[in-house]
Amino acid sequence: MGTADGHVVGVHKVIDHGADADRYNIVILGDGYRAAELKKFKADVNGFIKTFRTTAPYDKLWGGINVHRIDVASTDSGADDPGTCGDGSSGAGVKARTYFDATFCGDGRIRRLLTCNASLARSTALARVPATHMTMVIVNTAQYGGSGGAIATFSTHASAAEIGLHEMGHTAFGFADEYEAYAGCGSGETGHDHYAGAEPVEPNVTANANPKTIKWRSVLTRAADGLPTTRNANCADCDTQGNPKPASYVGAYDGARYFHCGCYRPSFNCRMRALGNPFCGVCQQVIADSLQPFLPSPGV
Amino acid sequence: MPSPYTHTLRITFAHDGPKLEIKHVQRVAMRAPAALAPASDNQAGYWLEVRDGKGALIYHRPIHDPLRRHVESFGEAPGAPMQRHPATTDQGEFDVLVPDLPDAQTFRLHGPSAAPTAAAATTLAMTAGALSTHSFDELRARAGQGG
Repeated sequence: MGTADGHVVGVHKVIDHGADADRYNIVILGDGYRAAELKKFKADVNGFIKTFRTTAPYDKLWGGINVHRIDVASTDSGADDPGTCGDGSSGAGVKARTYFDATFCGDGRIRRLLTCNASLARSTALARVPATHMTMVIVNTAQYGGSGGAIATFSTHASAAEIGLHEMGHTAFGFADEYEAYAGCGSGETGHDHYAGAEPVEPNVTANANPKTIKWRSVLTRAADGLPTTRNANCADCDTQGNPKPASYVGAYDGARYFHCGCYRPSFNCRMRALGNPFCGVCQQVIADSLQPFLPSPGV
Repeated sequence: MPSPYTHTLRITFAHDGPKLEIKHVQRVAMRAPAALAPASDNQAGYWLEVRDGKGALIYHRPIHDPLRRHVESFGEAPGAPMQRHPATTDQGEFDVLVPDLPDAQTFRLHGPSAAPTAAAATTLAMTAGALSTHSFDELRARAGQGG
């Protein structure tokens, strides 16, 4: 399994908004595509780009972004799908000979954890596009799955692009997870009742709910509203109350970064809390601020 | 506003348990994401910082769990709640981008100095310290020697 099971065919700059030295460069590689399936890879990349470029705030920053596609042919189609996994699930028991060695149950415990050789994916991207900022791997399997880390990996399942967008939030912008439990709500986890540490460095969570000094005070929907917006009445578990404000409201909601209380998130929901939601107003602002150096000068 | 620099350092770290070291450095003609100002002097989590010769902070950016202490799972089907799990390996590589600013003197990677086996809640709340400190002269020299 690995580089003996395929080869790099070529690189294509599919979105060209300027010199790589001046733009934010996303590199998308494929795994588990046989040579005869590279047309499908091209279509899968185009499908992801369509999702990406219509996702706020990337829609407004599109002119600062280049996208490069690296075609990689594998011996076999798909990904490894081990017959057993630590979570007790059953798979097809299939081994696929692929260049980046993509596999479900990537850590031996979690079936939907679709991983690949991230080090090889990174080095393959950097060898072709030295100015790479973000590396993604699309794996040619319709089963739902993905993973994060130094790169984002996700399958061709219609909803798996959401995993790519969430993981890019971590990798490219340093976002924290905004969900309020580590092992899951109702898991009975201990040690996560109340956050009592230093101010989290991540821009989308805070331990400071003072409206005058909260890190996202410039993005608050109504600075005159009191904070926090919600308080969790039972810090032994996740808050069960609904959102008392409109969906796009930015305030300070109790519960974030794997703590049930004492750590706050900007909005009730966000892509960094639950997949399928838009980025909250704070995440959108941070993305826009971060990508500002890559935007063409006015009039260009 | 014209960019005050033309190149960025791509610093690749390798980690193995508590051992963290620079594997190689490349100097690339590219821009780095804009700096994000720190919200506090006491912070938890991981971040990069660059200081000038007088010790002034000239670049700061948060990064997310570069040592991969926690693995994220997405549930069996779309829409399922996400969860975290302690990682099963404490080895890996990651790279960071820092602008090669004319006044840059010192690079630091900050993070919790907890043992790899520490409980997640402990690591997450811990005030971070410098995990890796290097002078820009050293980093530029390594890049000039091929990393």
